[in-house]
Order: sequence, then structure tokens, then C-alpha cells
Amino acid sequence: MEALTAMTPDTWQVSIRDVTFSYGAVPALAGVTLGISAGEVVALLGPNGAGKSTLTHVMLGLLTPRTGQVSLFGTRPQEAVARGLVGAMLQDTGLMRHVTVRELVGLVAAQYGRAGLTGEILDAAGLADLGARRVSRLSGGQRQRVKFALAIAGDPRLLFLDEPTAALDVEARHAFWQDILERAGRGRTIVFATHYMEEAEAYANRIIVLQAGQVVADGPARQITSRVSDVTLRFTDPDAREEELARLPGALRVRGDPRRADRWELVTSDQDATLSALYAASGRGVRDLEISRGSLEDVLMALAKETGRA
Amino acid sequence: MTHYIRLDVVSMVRSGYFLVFSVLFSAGFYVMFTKLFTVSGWTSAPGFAATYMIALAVSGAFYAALTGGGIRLGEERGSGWARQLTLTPLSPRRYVLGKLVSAWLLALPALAAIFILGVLLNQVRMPVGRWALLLAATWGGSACFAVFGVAIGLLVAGEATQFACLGVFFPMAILGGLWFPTSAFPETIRQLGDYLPTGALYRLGIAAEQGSGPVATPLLVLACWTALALLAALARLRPEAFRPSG
Ligand SMILES: Nc1ncnc2c1ncn2[C@@H]1O[C@H](COP(=O)(O)OP(=O)(O)O)[C@@H](O)[C@H]1O
Ligand SMILES: [Mg+2]
Repeated sequence: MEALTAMTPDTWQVSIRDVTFSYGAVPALAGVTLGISAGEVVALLGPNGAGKSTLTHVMLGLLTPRTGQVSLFGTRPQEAVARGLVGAMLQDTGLMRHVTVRELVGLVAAQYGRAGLTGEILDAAGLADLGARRVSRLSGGQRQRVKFALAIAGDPRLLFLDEPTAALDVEARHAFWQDILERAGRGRTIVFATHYMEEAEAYANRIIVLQAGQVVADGPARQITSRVSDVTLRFTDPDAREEELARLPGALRVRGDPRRADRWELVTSDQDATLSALYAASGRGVRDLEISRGSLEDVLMALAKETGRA
Repeated sequence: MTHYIRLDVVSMVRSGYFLVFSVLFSAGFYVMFTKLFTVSGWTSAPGFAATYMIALAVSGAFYAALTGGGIRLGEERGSGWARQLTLTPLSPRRYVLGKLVSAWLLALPALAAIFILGVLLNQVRMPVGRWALLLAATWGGSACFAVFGVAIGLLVAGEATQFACLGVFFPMAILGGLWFPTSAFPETIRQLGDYLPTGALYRLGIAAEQGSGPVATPLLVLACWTALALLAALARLRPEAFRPSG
């Protein structure tokens, strides 16, 4: 937050001020203020129903906020979209029927004056072999890749992705993030919504945590994830005793596995200190170590504790 | 926008059911009542092959424009495709204008097919100038149908659009006298037909074919309906209009 307020608003590609929005009587955004500048990779992180999609739609000018201001590139969202500065991949996006993948991607590319680059766009989205396929004959994952191709067809300076990896398998997911990181490397701005902590942590350099239509945290990805300092260590150690483990630096709780006497679960607030003490204790044969980081739920709980909200 | 119109027309033609209903349906009726069956007092009237040709051509054009404009627009709004496409430099206004033009273009095959059938099957003859006038009048007037379709597509979304379009198509085609003579109807309903866009374009077509007849009233009727549909369409064309749920 400090870094943001230091910046002048005119460097912001996305600027949102006190935005509220309701669907009829259902409130979805309760006063959101944020600015996003060029080259940032921002994760909108939050549980289902937090308002990620609504916020994305407001930023794109698809929903008019009840109060507050929204601007993209210092102008109205519709104007930025009309100038070809924006691309988007949204949930619930149908595709045209009775056309091939190449025809469809070519159509969207043509709107940005890039019809000649259709082949490259198909390659980037992993659709090189599917160009001649009718859109109606695609699998769920392939459709998702077509939607991605449509979002990047204009090589937009600002890209919005709403839960983009849903329906993608591991391999496609990897290729997808490779492409996103390559774009970010070229200075493109990426704003993606997700409810996976790991995804936000791995690919974003800034995380905005949304809950019940409000921004509950906003900052560098590491700063947000370190809010959840508790890490769970699971390991096998035939010589360990519960009292000893509980005395390790940083250790908060120790639990033995009821099914296996040599298997332990230890929650620590200082992973490094605990681990080095554990390994340093001579004669210990620590094996099969698993480390699990905090989940989104842990982050939200930690934030609630900090702010005093339950 | 031309790229969009081209692909939209191509995809519509490929969809098959469109040609079946807009061309084959009218063609079937035409063959049935000019070749297979005789209904005294109707099919035996002089010049029936030509007038029924015009009626069914208008019916086919009406259906094509309603499906091409309305059903597709409603479906694409419902599915979220309209929203995706208009998140590019193609603005919602130009997208809808594109739909209007493609709906209008799609009315042409129906008109042409029935006119060709009239020539080949029933030796309908008229000077080339009259043919040109007939085609210009019926196709030009079909712009009203295209606006109509687009308005319906903006008022109704998703699967409901199909029923809305058919709900407009059948009564307007029948009351406009495009399928059967309206002489059996009560006088008020018969007069109502003249004030429908279908009945008006039919009369305009007859006037073009015969080189005489009332022109001002049908033109005025068409203009009014076009203006009405255009107003409805413009009122509905807001940013929220392309949300899949709405
Ligand atoms: N079309 C809609 N009509 C009514 N309520 C909606 C609609 N879309 C979303 N909501 C409500 O708005 C809130 C935020 O939803 P959404 O922005 O979709 O959250 P997220 O994308 O984070 O899951 C939720 O309470 C949701 O139920
Ligand atoms: Mg969502």
C-alpha cells in the first residue's frame, strides 16, 4: 500500500476509487479502491463469492458501479477497450458456432488489425494443431485455450483473466503460465482472479485479497503470503519423542500420527529455525519430509486476526 | 466490421437449419399450392403464381431476418459470446449494426430462391426492369425485418429468443396474408394485416410487379415499424446488455 500511494495516479493503468456495486439487494463490492500500474502481475485472490468477477467486470466497464470511479489508462473503460488496449478472458463465455478455431481467432485478431498474425496467436495458445477444428467439437480444456487465444489476440497492454486455469490440465496450465510470464516480461500488465493461494503466490508479484466485496490485503505477493507464517511439517523420524519435538525453536504444536508411531506432524511459526534444529539434533534420521504452506483460508484467518475482524 | 459480417453470414449458412426454414419452407409451400393442390377461389385466381411467389418470398425473407438478427443475437448475448466479441475494438454498437447487416443480407437468398422457382416452375414473366424493381422493393423493405430481428434479440436473450421470434413470425406472416388469403378473416383483422410490416411489404411487392398500385401507405407502414423497432433496440443497447445472465 505504501508503495502504491507514493506513485502518481497518472501512471496507473487501472484506477478504482470507492467503488460499490450490488446485484439488486445483494451487495457484491463494498468500497474498493486500488491502482494498478504498468507491468504488474496482480492476483485478485479470494474465496468464491468474494467479488472477484464483479470487480473484473467493473474494471472492464461491463458493469456500472453504483458509486465510485473507474478508469483504465486514464479514460473510461469502454474507451480503453475501443482503443484495443485491453484483453479479457471471463467466466461463462460462449463461442460462435459453425466456425473453425482459426476463423474465430482470426476474427478477433482482425478487430485489433492483427488478422495476419493469427497463426502466431494459435501457436501461443497451444492451438497450432486445432486451427481447422470446428469450435463445437472442442473439449473443455481446448475451449478454454481458445478463450485464452481470444484474450491475447490483440497483444493487449492490459490483460484480465478470471479464473483462467479452470478446466486446464497440468500440462496446459504450465504452458499457460509460461505464456503469461513471457508477456509480463515484455511489460504487459496482467490482472488475474483466482481462489488458489498457490497460483497467486507462484505467478503474481502483487496480491490483492478480496473478501465479501472488500480489499482486506494488498501488497507484494511475499508480504501477503508471509502473513501466514505457520507452516506444517510432516516427516518420519523413528527416534523422535513428542516432548523433544515440542521444544524445537518455533514449534507450536506437535501431533503423532495415530496409525504410525514414527510419523509426526509439527506446526511451526519459524520453518527455518525448526528445520535446522531438527536436522542438527544428532542421530536423527529425518525422512519423507513434507512441507505444506498456508492455504487461502489461513491467510484470511490471519488477516481477520490482525484487523480484529472475526 | 465487414470481417465480422462475412463470418457471421458464413456461419449462419453453414448452420443448415437456417436455409431449411428460410428457403425450403417457403419453396415447399410454393410448390404445394402452385403445382400440387388447387384451392378454388384462391390458387386459380389469375396471376396467382406471381402473387404467391411474392408472398412467400417476403415470408422467407422475414424468417431469415428474424433468425439471422434476432435468434442469433439473443443466443450470443445469452451465451456470453457477444460480450467477449465486444471486449475488442468492435464496439457493442457496431456489433449490433453488423448483426443488422448480416440479417439483411441473409434475407436475400430466400427472396432470390423463390423468385427463381417462380420463373423455372411457373413461367412467371415480367420485364427485367420490373424484376429489378421487385427485388429492390422486397429486399429493401426487408431492412425493416432485420431491424425487427435485432430489436427482439436485444429484448429477449438465450433460448427464449427462439420462441419470441417464432411468436412474432407466425402471426405476422399469417395476418399479413403471406401464406393464405385473408379473405376468410373478419374485416377488421384483414385491415390490420395492411398495417403489419409483412402485409405492407407484400403489397409493395405486388405494386412493383404490376407496375402500379398503392405505394405510399405500405412505405409509411414499413417506416413506422422500422422506427419503432429501432427505438426499442437503441433503448436496450446499454453496457449491461451483453451480460450472459441478462
Ligand atoms: N448475476 C448475479 N446476480 C446476483 N448476484 C450475483 C450475480 N453475480 C454474482 N452475484 C453475487 O455477488 C457476489 C460476488 O460474486 P462474484 O463477483 O461472482 O464473486 P467471485 O467471482 O469472487 O466468486 C456473490 O455474493 C454472488 O452471489
Ligand atoms: Mg468469479
